[in-house]
Amino acid sequence: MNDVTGPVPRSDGEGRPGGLLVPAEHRSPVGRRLFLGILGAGAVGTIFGQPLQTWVGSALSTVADPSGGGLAALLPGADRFRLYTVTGGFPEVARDRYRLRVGGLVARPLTLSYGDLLRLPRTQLTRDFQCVTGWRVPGVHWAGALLRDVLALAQPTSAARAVEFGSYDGVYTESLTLAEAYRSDVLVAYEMLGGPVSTAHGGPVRLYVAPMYGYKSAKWLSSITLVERATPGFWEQQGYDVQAWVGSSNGRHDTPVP
Amino acid sequence: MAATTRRSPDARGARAPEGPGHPVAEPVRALRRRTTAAQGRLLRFDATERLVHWVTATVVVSLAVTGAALYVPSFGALVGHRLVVEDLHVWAGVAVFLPLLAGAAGPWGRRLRHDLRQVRDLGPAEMDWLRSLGRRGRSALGKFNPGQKLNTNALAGILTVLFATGLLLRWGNFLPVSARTGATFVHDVAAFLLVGLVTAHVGLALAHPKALRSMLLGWVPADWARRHAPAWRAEELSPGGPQRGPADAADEGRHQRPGPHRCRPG
Repeated sequence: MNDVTGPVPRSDGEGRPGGLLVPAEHRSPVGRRLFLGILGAGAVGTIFGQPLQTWVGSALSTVADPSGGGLAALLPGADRFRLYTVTGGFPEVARDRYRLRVGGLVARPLTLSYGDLLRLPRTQLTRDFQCVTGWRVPGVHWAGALLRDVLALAQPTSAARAVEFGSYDGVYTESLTLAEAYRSDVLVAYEMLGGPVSTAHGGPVRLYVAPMYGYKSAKWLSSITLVERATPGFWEQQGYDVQAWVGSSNGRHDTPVP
Repeated sequence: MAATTRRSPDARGARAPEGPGHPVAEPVRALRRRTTAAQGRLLRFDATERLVHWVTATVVVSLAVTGAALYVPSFGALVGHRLVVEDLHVWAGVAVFLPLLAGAAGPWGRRLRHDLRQVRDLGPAEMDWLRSLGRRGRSALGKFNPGQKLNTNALAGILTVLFATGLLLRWGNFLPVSARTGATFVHDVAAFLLVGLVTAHVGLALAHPKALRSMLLGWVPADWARRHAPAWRAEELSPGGPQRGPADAADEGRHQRPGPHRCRPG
C-alpha cells in the first residue's frame, strides 16, 4: 500500500462502500471466517461423520421410516435405505406370478414359485445393511430361504464353481463363488424390515448377502445360474470389486459390520 | 494511483494520470460514464458477470435435480437409470466452478475479480448495519450489502464442501468406511443448506425486480441505487469518477502482483 498515491482518505468509513477507507486491520473478516468455518465444519463432519451420523440416525429413528418412505426419512443422517434402480423404474412382479429360474450347470434345472420358496426352511437374520458408498441402515430384519437350500434342490454339477444372478429389471447382474453361495448368511429373501420385501426394495424376492456390500444383494431376483466362471456384475463392470466383503474390499480395510 | 477506478473495464482506463495512461481513451470513457449516469442508469453487472451467473445457475439447478433423483426415493424411482443420473451429477459437479474460474481468469474478468474482493470483509459501518438489522448505517451500503456479502461467502463455502465431499464419494475408495459415511452425511447436509440459500436468493430476487433485472440487462436505475447502495451510487456519480482508498488499494495489492503491470490499463 506504500506505492499508492491516492486521494486523501476521508476521515471515516461513512459514505464509502462498506467504509472502504477504513484501514484493513479495522475491517472485520467475517466473510472469510464464514467461508473458512464452513470448510472446517465440512472437514470435521467428514472425519467424525460416522458417530455424528449414528447419533443423528438414532435421534431420527422415532420419526424416520427406514424403508425410505415419508418426509422425515429424507432428512440428512436418517437411517434409511437409498433406493437404487439402474433402469427406468422399479419392475413390478406380482407375488402369484413370480418365478425364480435355477439353471446352468445343474442336474435338475427348475423353476420355483413364491410359494415354493416359502415352503423351504425359513432363516432369519438381523444385520446392518452397508452400502459401499457409505450409508448404512442398522439392525435390518431379513427372512428367506438359504441360497444353499435352493441350490441343493437343483443339484449343481461338479463343474459348477460360481453362481450368477439375474434381475427382473433385465439389466442388473451379480455373482458369488460357490463357496460364498453356501454360507449360512446368504438368503433368497422374501421379507425385510419386518414385512414382505416391497417392490421398491426388490420384492417380491431379492438376494441378501449379509457379509458383503449392498450391491451384492441383487433386487427383483429372477434367475440363478450355475457357471464355471462368473461374469462380473453390473456395478463390478463399473469398477467395484467382485469380492465385496464389507471391511476388506474396494480398496478399503474397514471394521466389518457385525 | 489517484482516481483509479475499481469498476467497469471501461472506467479502469481512468487510472493513474502519472502512469502510462491512455490520454485519449480517458475522456471518452469519462464521457461514456457520464452519459450512462445521465440516463439514470448504473452498470451493476457486466456481461462476464452475467454470463458466469447464469451458466453457474444452470449447472447448480441441474445438480439439484439430478441430486434429488439420487436422494429422494420416489423421484429416483420415477427417473430411474441411476448410472446415467450419477454420471450427469458427478460431471456437473466437477464443472461447477469452471464458469467462475473462466470468467475471472482473463482481462474480461476485471470487474468480477473486483466484486469478489469486495465481499470478503466488512467495515465498521457495515458491521453496525448488520448488528442493527439494517436500522443504522444505510448510508454506508456499497454495491453489495453485508447480507449479500455473507451469503456469497456461505455459498462459496457450501459449494466447496459439496465439491470436495462429492469427489470423495466418487473417487474416495481409499478412505475408511467411516469417512465415507461422514462424507455422505456432510454432502447431504450441505445440499440442504445450499437449496435453502438458493431458494432465499431467488425469493429475494423476485422481491426486488430491479435487482433481478440488473442480472439480466446489467444496469440498475440510479434511484434504485440511492435506496439500496447509496455509497456505491455516490462513488459512481462523483465528478472525478470512482475513487479508491488505501484500504482498497491494499486489498488489491494482496491479490495482484505489484509491479509495472499494475499500471497497465486493461
